[in-house]
Amino acid sequence: MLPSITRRSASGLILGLASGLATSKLAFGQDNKYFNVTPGGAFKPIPVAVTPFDGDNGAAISGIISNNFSRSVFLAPVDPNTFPEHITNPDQAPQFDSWKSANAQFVVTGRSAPGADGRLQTQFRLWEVASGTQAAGQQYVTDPNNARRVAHIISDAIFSRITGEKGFFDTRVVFVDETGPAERRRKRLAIMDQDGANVRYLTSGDDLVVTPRFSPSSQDITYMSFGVAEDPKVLLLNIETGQREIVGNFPGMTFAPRFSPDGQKIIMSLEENGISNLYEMDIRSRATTRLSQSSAIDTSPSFSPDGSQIVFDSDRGGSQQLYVMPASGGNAQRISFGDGRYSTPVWSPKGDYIAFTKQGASTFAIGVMKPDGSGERILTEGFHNEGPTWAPNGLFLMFFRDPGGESGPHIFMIDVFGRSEFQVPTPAYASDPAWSPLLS
Amino acid sequence: MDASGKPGFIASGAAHAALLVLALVSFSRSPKFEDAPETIPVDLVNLQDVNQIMHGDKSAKQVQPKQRADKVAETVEQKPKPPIAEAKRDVPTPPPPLKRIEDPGEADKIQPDKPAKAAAVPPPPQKSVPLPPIEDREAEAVSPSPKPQVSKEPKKETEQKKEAKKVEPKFKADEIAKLLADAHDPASAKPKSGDDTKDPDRKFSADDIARLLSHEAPQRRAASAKELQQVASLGSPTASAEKMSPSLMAQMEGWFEDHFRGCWVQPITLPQGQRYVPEIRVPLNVDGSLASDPVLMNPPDDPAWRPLAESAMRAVHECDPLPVPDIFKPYYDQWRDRIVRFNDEDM
Repeated sequence: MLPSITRRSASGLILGLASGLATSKLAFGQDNKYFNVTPGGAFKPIPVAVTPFDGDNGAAISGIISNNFSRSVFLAPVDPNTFPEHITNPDQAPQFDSWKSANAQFVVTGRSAPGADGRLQTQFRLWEVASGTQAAGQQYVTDPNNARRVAHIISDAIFSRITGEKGFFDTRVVFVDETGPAERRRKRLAIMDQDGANVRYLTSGDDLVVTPRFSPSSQDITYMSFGVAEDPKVLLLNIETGQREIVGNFPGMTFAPRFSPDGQKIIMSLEENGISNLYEMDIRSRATTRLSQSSAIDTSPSFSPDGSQIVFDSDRGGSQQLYVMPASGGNAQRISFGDGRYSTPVWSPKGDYIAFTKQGASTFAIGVMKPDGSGERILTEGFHNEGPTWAPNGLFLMFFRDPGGESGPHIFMIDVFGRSEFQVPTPAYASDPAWSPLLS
Repeated sequence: MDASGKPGFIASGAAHAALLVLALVSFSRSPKFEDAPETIPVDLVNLQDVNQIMHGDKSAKQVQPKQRADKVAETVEQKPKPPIAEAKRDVPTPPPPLKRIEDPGEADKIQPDKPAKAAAVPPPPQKSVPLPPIEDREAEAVSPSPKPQVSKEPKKETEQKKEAKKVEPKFKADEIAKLLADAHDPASAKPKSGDDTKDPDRKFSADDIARLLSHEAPQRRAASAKELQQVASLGSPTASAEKMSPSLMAQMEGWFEDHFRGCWVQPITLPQGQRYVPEIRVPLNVDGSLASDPVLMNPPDDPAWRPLAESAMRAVHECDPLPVPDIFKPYYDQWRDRIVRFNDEDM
């Protein structure tokens, strides 16, 4: 039986309706209070105006900073021709309104000049235009020969302050310098600043050198050297002292040595009778442990940044694919399933991605995927891209591209989203880059 | 056929008879139908109507409360007004207590801001390598410019507030003066009921009443619900003005959200862990410029989220001024003071 509507029940109903409306009005009113902004706009770098620094060394320092930002993808130096004012006193706040109309979100001012003791004094201030406040400010005193490093350190400080990410400018890159005709290439180990400046040679070029790798924790590098009529050797080189030692003599061929995150171990593959397995070696005790037991070719091992896992490539499934296994050995999980052959995996220092080379029908792509194999993203594709290496902040990669023929390889840098790509200037052909950790 | 030979027949007949009687009795006692309950017609009101009623209508004319005819008649009759000169004499007395309340409040608001801003400008550069002299120099060099800005604007506010507040005492003074004048002027004093001595010449005349009433428009009309709602309510200053259709509302919100999105450079990566969505209160002028500094309503507890909060704040500044299309300007109240959420969940 339906309840009959009496005066009392009707008034109750009205009250209920009213309170219901009141609450829904509240909810509606709350929605009315917000604009919900989600990502999706076109990517835009943050415009930063690097004004010429005051002082004798000022222009050089600010020039290096500006050049760094022009390759930073996420920051964009404002064109000096549009600067609305000439900064005369770097300690004074700039005219924020006019900088805002010049479309600068940040303004960098500073000075650099030798102090009374002959040491170089460099100061900078980072001003946020929107809030009209100083966002950062520091002073560095150093030997005048270190001027470039000061500029890189300042670049890192600004990059970190604005983006919240770690810097990567105060780093170096070891690479293989290649000179001479294609059939008689002279390959020397060389080192440079990440912007291509300050090139120095570490080996004479008598032996063929390949796959240099930086220690994540020290200024050591490991590389392979092929002497005349000799088995390839894995060598350890301290770039500060120039001291060099052979890591070990192994029967058969050794390949792709790489440091563990703590710099205490080297992981590599050893080839015997057509099969190749993974080994790790303690640098101090030289004790060697076999990690994989396959009858296939396992190679290019790389540790996860926490040292708990290893990614490597293997043809155990028929074609060359990427696998992840515990650092102590054990079951390996395949993580790459796309078309083509995957090789040279490198785990990002942040741990969020694994970079790789992917070989298709006639192209070599550099890409990244998450450690579980998801989110594969090709960053660049073309003929013969190879050998990715991570910047210490995990936001950039360097690799080399060799068009073949009489031409030779060059080193390129790309961000992890594949937005921009730059060639790194080198004195000659260059391949096999290895990015150092942050120097400071 | 002998009936006595068939006791079953008798029993059956008796049972049927009893059943018949029982049925007759029970039907005669069948319950009456209850009176039909009184029903009330209920109009269905949708949410938007309610919202509109609450918000009022910006185009409505301001309705000045009228006194009812009978009351007006009375005041009209006692027209003689108090001499203004006397009122003036009394004007200055009331304000002092009000003034005292006003000042400390304003002073409290402004003063803490000043040093805070001045101190905020020269934050000590982080320790890195040596950095001694810069701090002091900076404090001297930088502080002068913002200071005046900080102190200037609040002053304007205080002046405005003072002006606004001055109105009140004036009105009160007038009232007091009126009362005083009433007391002085015997002619203006209200006659007490039944006190015939006040106006001995007054005589009752039905014509007088008719004359007075004829000037007054009737105050009450037929009081159906629709008639009562004939005059749109003005609404409060913070409520919405014109009625906005849902599609126009969506269009407006889409426009603003698109613009903020266009100004927003999201952080490169986001930290792991509990999500954080910065909410920034953005007070806007009708021309789309910032009416005052935007405020981050929920600063992040975890400093790792600071870049996201800062990027959101930069987006709001970057979008200033917003080129608000004319079509949305009549609905200023819908967007004048919203909170903008920057939800980076897709990254």
